[in-house]
Amino acid sequence: MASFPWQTPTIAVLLPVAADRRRHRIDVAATLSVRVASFLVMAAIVGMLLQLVLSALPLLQSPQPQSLSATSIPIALSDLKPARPDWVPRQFDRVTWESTEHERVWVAVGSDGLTGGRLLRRDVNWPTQSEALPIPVMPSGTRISALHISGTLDWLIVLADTGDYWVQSLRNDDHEKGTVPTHVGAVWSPGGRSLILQQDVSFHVLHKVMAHGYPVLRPMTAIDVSNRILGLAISPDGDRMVLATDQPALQVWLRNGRKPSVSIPLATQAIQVGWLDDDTIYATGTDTPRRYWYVDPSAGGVSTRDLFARQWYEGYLESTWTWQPKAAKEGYQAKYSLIPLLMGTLISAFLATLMALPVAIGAAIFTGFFMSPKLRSRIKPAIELIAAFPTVVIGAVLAVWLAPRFDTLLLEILGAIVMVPTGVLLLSLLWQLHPVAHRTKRYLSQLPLLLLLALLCLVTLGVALGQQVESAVFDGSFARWLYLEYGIPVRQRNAVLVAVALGFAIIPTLFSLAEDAINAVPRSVAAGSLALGATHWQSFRDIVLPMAFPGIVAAIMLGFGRACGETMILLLLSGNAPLSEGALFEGVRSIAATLAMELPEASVASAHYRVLFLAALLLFAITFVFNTAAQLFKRRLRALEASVL
Amino acid sequence: MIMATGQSLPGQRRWQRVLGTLMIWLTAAMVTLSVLTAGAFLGLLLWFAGSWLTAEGMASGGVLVRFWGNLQQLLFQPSASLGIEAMLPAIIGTVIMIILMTVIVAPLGVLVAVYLSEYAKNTWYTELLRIAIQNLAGVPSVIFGVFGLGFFVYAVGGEIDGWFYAETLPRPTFGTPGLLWASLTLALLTLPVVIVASEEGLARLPTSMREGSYALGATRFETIIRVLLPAAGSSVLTGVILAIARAAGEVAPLMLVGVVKYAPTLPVSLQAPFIAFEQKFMHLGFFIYDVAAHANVGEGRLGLICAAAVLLVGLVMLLNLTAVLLRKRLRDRYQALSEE
Repeated sequence: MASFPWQTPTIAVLLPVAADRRRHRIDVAATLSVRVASFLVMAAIVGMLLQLVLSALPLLQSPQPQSLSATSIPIALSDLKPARPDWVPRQFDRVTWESTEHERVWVAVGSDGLTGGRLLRRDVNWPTQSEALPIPVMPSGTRISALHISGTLDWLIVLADTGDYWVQSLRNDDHEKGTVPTHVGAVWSPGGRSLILQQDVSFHVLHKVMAHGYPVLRPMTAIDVSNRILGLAISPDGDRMVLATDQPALQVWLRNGRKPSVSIPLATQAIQVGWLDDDTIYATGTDTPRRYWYVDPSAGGVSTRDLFARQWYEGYLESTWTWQPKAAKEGYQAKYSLIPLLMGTLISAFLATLMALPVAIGAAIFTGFFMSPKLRSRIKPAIELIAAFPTVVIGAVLAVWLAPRFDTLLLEILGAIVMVPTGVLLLSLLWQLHPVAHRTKRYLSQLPLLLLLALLCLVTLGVALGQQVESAVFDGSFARWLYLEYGIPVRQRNAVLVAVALGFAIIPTLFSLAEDAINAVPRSVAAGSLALGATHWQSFRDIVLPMAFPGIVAAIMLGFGRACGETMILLLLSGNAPLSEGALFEGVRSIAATLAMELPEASVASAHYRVLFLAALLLFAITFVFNTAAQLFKRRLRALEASVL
Repeated sequence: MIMATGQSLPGQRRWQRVLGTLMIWLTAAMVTLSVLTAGAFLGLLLWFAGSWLTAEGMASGGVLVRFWGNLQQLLFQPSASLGIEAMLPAIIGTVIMIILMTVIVAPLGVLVAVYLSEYAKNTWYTELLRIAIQNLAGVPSVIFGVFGLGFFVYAVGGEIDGWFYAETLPRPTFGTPGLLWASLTLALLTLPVVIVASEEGLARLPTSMREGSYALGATRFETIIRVLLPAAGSSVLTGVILAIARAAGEVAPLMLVGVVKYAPTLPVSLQAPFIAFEQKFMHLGFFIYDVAAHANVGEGRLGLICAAAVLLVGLVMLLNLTAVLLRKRLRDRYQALSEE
């Protein structure tokens, strides 16, 4: 664009009149404001990316533990576990206890083995006499080295000097005995779903899983710390552990970690460690006073393995990719695997593109090449009308109208999908058998209008056919047959339904760009090939299509990118079940829908919040790649066209 | 005359022709299918909305009476049995939010377009700005919501609270999702649309127009404000229209930065300061989402959703129509100018 940089100063110099000087000043001010505005926008765009990166980044850094003075710790020291509550019988030396709002449980080493009791709260009062507890049976003379009651008051672990351990349910008679040599201590996870056995220089993690209706402990991992472990404690939320070894340092571990996520140097070795709250640890040395550290839960709170590798979570029978941020029930492990979300996003976008591709590109080919310009000017806006429906409307209508009867309509929809192309092909063949067909080509440009009635009939026929097949072959319910024969459940909200809605929503994106690309090919090029004796279709396929191809690819990329970022349709139709098996008729959960649902509830700067920002960054990266690829293809298209003209 | 008599063609060529015609028929069927689907969806909306609005609900009597009665109920009365709120506050919230967004995005977009078209030289910075704006258009809308929540709400809003509303902390005033942040987020979302359309309009104007203006002694600012912008006005308005159309249908980013299922008061009032910028608001698109996802009724829901959807689509069309009429008036006025 032409600009005249000499213009403004000339006026100011030649005509030094007051009014002109004012005009000059205004001009300078305008220049400044325009520059500032464009700079602001640039800053906003760069800042946007930066904001996403900076919010997610601390996740992958190792945390910097802050040392706290005893006066600045968040919890009053008196709130810590009191020395011994008055409901625990006085006569025992070695006793452990645990309480909730409604229950109190104590277990003690008596003169003739273990004893224990439970108190249940009545109204506002507590009874004075405790009920008896189921206590593991162990040989007399067993010397007990450690006791621990799970935070849910369900389970007791007893360790003996011999290396045997007993796990006893405190609710019923379920119990289990095992042996781990040279163990020192044992700790339940807060939810009582896994047990950590502390040994001399290593610790074992055992998960409680249900086998044949009984809970059994299954050894999961044994981790060698290669230093003697002096103390071990799990955080109240169950996400992290702190370890004291004979080295002068504390180690903080993630629950599924293979190595410490952070190490805190000490002056001397600590002998006792513990958690004040979810984020504050304390340690006491032999002759040093107790010290406190704040360990940021979001910084390094999730490892790359947590995000992308299979993990064996407590309560699971195998290692899985699972997305389950902080669960409703406390004490569950937070599960931050991004794989199910990524798979959900890509699968639904892929299926949607697959669904929209034949329809949109087919329509683009006909509208761009075969249709008369007059009809084209009416048909194109009609197809682009789809873009005027907000996606929330598409999602809502299909969620309420189609989703509840999707399982019964499955075969009817399939019938229509099969019937339309085959029917059109048959009609075309029939028409061409008639000798008149080859004498005229004039009907071609009006063909879509002529096919309107035929298509309506074909859809009806397809639906009827689907119904007939369903009642005749599949006993009246295809969905039930699918489940009984192949074990494929058809859920109300599923990936196929998402693909239908999403495919519908991206038709205009695909169609518009592809049609533009085809229509932009000069008519003279095709006319030349027709004059040389090519048929219409040959002329399109061999001359126009190669030229428009980059544009069509760009359209597909753009459509796929849009499908990846679409939120409302996924939110309403996908069922939002974070699965990664890729089953077609089960729910999916996409990154975009997860962001919309979970981010408002995630507390600022928590690990969950940062993982969500990382997911947003991932989604941004995916769409960025596809959009950039589309831009490159578009540029190629322009170059190609320029070379022809 | 080979073309006319198919029977006499050699075998391979004949087969080519049959195959080609088959393909052409298939693509034609796809055109029909697309139009049919679009029409069917619109028909579905209108049909369900119409039958729900004229059903024997609150009012009985003629069709118009029932329609009016049902419409009134939908707009003004929250329904406890359906678990939904009245729709009028949602409509007002949507309109206010869009107006606020337009007030932000239109001047900013035009300024940037003017910069790119009239001031910027072809430097790496300009190229970068263009690429950034192009990419901004392709970013999923929910990402804007994420940014809005992280930056506008928590960072900027938190700061504002610290400076001006320290006495009410820790209860946040601007540090929580609200109308202003929602409008800003959507303004950022629709910015590329306005910029691209305005810049195209400015670039299309002939250089002679600028030269004429300069020859008469106008400064660059005067040229832009008196000559170029009026001539490109229709393109600018097109951009703003497209921005509004895009914003009206967006729900996902708003779920993060300010829309709620139920707000006890409207974000506008007749007392100063007239607009409560920090307040959460109700939104028509979110209303539809909420009914579809959470309302505890079966059959009545579809009609309700379709009625709201028709209103939302209608709202967009009304806004569009206003802008189109405005555009036409402007175009008539400056036709002579831009034709030269």
